[in-house]
Amino acid sequence: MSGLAAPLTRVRRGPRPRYAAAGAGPVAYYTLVAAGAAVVLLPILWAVSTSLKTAGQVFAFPPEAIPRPFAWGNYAEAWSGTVPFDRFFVNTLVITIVPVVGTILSCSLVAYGFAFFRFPLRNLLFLIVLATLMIPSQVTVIPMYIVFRYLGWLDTYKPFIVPAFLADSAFSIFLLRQFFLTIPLDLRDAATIDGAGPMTFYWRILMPLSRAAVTTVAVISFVSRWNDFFGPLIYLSSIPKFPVSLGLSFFKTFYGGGSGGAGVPHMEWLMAAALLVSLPTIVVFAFAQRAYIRGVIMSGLRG
Amino acid sequence: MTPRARREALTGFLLILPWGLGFLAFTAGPMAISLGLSLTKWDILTAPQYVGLANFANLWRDPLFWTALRNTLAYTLLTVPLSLAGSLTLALLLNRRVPAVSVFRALFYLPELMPTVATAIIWTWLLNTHFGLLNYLLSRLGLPPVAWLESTTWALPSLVLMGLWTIGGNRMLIFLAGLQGIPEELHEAAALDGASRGRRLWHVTLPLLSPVIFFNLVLGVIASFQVFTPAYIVTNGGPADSTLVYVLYLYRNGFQYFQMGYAAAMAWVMLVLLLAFTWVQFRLMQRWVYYEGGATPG
Repeated sequence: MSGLAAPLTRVRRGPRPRYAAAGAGPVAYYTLVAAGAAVVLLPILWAVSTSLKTAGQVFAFPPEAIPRPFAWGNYAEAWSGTVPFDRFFVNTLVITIVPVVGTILSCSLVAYGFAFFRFPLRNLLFLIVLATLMIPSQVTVIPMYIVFRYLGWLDTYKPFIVPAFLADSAFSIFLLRQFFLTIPLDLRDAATIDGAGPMTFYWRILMPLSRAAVTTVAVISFVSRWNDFFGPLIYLSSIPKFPVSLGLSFFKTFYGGGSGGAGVPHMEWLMAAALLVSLPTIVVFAFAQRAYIRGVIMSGLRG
Repeated sequence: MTPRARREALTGFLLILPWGLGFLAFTAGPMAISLGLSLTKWDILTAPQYVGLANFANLWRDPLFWTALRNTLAYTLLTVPLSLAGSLTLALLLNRRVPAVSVFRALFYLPELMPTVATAIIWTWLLNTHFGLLNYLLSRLGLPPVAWLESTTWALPSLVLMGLWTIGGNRMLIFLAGLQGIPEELHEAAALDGASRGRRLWHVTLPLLSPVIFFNLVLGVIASFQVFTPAYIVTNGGPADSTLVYVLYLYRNGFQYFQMGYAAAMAWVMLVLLLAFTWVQFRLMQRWVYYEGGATPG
């Protein structure tokens, strides 16, 4: 599996570059691709431009591309103004990183069980794991809400943390199991002969060998939890506990200019906040691109 | 069972125990509760009241249920084919051995990384009728402004447009991996036989890629049926319920009107619909998906 991401990120060495259409040269090809990229990037550039404008320039028409002057203070306002985004960031780190650790620990143990041990009903149980991938979260959200309410977990972080420690990510179990299956059973037998118990083998040999797969699980679950909106919307209600996704939605009601907000719309603060919130996942992607892409492609292999 | 095998089985069971508990507590249990709830009328505060199939009968008579279903189907019918075609075109374009191609792949991927709420807020501003960039660009082309988010005609297509922003995302990467799994020799052989670029695409690439197209199609339908965040943030279902999608209506019933039984019934209808769609797609698959030597999909 470790070879999977390679063809994507690496430009394969060929005899010479091949461009779009027969006869079309590099100029035509790069013009086409760059034009496409410009269209895709336009919303982001527009948001960056707006986020640096003064309140007066935001509503200029026709719109101006370059902010004059650059109002860097908008980012300070978005970060720790009336709506406490710094707080939302810390909250999101808590309900992202703790569950990611839970997912790695619990899902790797479960995957270890499925990959290395024979027990009755193993294949049937693994099929059930795969089947849960297909169940939309909306089907279980109503009863989950009721269960959490009964347990007194509403408006706490327990609905995000406890399930993660009980291996609620079927995709992570699948991905880790596929990786573990490539590790020879002989290795475990050799470790057993040397007197290592199952947990010693798991912690000392299996996990260090599986660093690539563990990184993939970590970055994929980090991004999906950081971006999650539906869960926090249902389970959290007090503003100081909001993560960034929910905070951003609250920010929009507050500064979007609609009813129930502060009255005056502040698009420059909204854009600054939206960009700040997007930054961590982009940074994670930039640093762990290979591991991340491998995860995306693995999700395409389970079909 | 030998004592050793028994010990191995016991260790295996213990290792998968966390999943077993989680599955019972957070998947199987809730689904059973949800099925039971769908037969009750319950506002959370007072005791639930058994009403049989009344929730399902009421859904059948609820005009908003049909509006939500119609909007979701329209959204799916627009989004899935357009985004599949867009992602595939982009994958074909970026599947070249040329310098800087990985930079472009990363740029096209960028929107997929952004939280949906952030995307929704940026697009709300972009599509603003009076000050938005899109209407400004239209005016430069001599076209009149469009009330993107304020007209019942354009609000749903606006959400589709927003969804198409991620054509360079996960779907594209999966297509790209599929394309790179196609042996080079097949193309070269077809080219030697005098097949044009278009014919090679139609007769070699697409058939070999069909399992991947099928996978993206099935998952695309499931995902777009669950669309919620853009409709909630950008338009909140409006104007005049023109973007009231299924999950938004489910959310309102459950968490704004506290009709838990009714919302649970909606959730089960959704699950059955998705299973039916998927089943139909698997039936139709045999007509167009090509599996080399009967190999397993993937």
